[in-house]
Amino acid sequence: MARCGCAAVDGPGGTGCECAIQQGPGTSVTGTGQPLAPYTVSARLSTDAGNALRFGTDTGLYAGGPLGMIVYDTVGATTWTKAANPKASWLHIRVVGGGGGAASLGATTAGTGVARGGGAGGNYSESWIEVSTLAASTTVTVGAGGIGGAPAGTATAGGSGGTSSFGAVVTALGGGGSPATTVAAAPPVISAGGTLAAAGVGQLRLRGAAGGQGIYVVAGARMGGAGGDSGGGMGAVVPSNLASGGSAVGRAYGGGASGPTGEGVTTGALGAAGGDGVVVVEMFG
Amino acid sequence: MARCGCAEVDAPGAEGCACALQAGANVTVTGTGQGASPWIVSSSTSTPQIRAALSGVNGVAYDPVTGIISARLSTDAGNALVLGGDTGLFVPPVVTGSPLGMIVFDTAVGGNWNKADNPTAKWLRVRVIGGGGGGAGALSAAAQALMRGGGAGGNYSESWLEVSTLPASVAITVGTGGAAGNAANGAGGLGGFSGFGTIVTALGGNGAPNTAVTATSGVSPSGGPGGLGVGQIQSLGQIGDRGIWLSATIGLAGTGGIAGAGFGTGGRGGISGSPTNGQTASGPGAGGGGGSSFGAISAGGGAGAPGAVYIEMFS
Repeated sequence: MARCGCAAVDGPGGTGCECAIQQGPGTSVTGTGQPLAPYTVSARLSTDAGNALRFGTDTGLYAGGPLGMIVYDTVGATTWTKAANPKASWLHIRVVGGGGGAASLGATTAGTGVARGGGAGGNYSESWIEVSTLAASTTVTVGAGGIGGAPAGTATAGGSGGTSSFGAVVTALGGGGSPATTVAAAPPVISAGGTLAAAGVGQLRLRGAAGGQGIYVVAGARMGGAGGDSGGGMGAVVPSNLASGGSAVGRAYGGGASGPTGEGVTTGALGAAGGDGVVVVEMFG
Repeated sequence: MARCGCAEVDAPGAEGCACALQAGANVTVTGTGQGASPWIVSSSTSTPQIRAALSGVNGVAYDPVTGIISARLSTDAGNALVLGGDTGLFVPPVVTGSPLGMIVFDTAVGGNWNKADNPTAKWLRVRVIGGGGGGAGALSAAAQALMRGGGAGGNYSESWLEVSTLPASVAITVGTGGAAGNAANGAGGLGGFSGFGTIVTALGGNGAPNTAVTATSGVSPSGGPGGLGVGQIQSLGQIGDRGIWLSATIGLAGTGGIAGAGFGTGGRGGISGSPTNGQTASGPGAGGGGGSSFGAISAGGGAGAPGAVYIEMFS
């Protein structure tokens, strides 16, 4: 078939007949209609700067916008990949480290006691990241809460919470566990909580709160230290213990555990674990 | 090869054998199959036939008279899709709210946000945190104690701003952290004001006072937050913890308050065991801890943390 003057293949000597189909605004027509070069009609996206229109993965027209949120709250490592999120152009990333664990009480004899401090909260880091600056795959790590002090009858410090991270781009350290250095004694006795960790990597970095101090005022009146809140208020504060000697587990995300208390408890009491961290990735097209 | 009777090239008087190829509907066959004249089979569908076979449906406009195929934009109200300057399809980013990143001012140096530096920004989400107040310092008498309170956290303000409503340049102020109370019973200092111009502002927290006096037991006051600033959302900083001592040797100085909306971490107050300075706050905007003094050994307060201004930009 002749598509005179529509493409070079028509060559000299074309008889000046009209093109069968032509491209108009917003379209692109290629090919000559010959079997080896059939017509292909496509939408044509403007190349003007700032165009938010693109082709989706199904080759349909797609305008950018929010793409939802991925919450990584299982302890351990996984990956965020460009291939699985092909339309994402910006990420808003929030990372919380694990909370600190509480120290165990240790054995206390009649007339002596102690109220352990709480674990510190995990740190918080937040950044906006342009996807073009990332590698094809980024490791996402969710830090575990620090382990509780054990055994119950031997005063043992709580463990530090684990670091949570989105690659090396956004990182937040876990909170410190509460120490077990204060020796049980006749009241009053005050013991320290876990200390907060150094700041990690991120545009906005908030450190978790130190664990509250434990206080043993007089016989029968004890208050274990509250677990510290994680940075940015992401983990609820675990309230301090009063009458019961138990240590409460830190709450997600990244809260510290509260400290156990006791007086004249020969078996002691275990410390509880801190709350696990989290990595939250909001994606925008 | 013989192609009898199909063309003049065959010799006169040749037998009337059948042609090998014949043209059917809409096809033209030329040539004889000879080496010098190969068969050429061409489609001969006419332009009107092609045009009649096409139609435009979803999102496509088609004119069968001219053969022009165009994108067809919905005329529904509020359609963001337009034709760009090169007649390609174009969605202006102002409609999509695409992120353009975040600028952080978190040192007391401050700076400016300029339209010229951010020409595609159409909307800003601005968060402002005032500086934290300082903790007070303590000096007790012999055989007594004095546990000071912590400074308050700075306030928090947040607004969404349309860039078209802003001047060409906006001054950024980051409030300083309140000074630590000196070890000679000094009060904590006031945290500084932070602002995105005067459009989004947050006051700093007050330092802890130095009014409590040395004794064998007692309670000390702490710093409270400043008044409201300017912003669509405002959250006051937390008041610092009070200091409390139960005896001449046992007590807790107050921890500094966190800044509004949970920013920053207050510095810890000193605890019993030995005289301890209040801890400096972690930023942004938290208050410093109070000092703990026992037996006439002094302890300073902790300084408040500087505030911050966070500017998230959207197209």
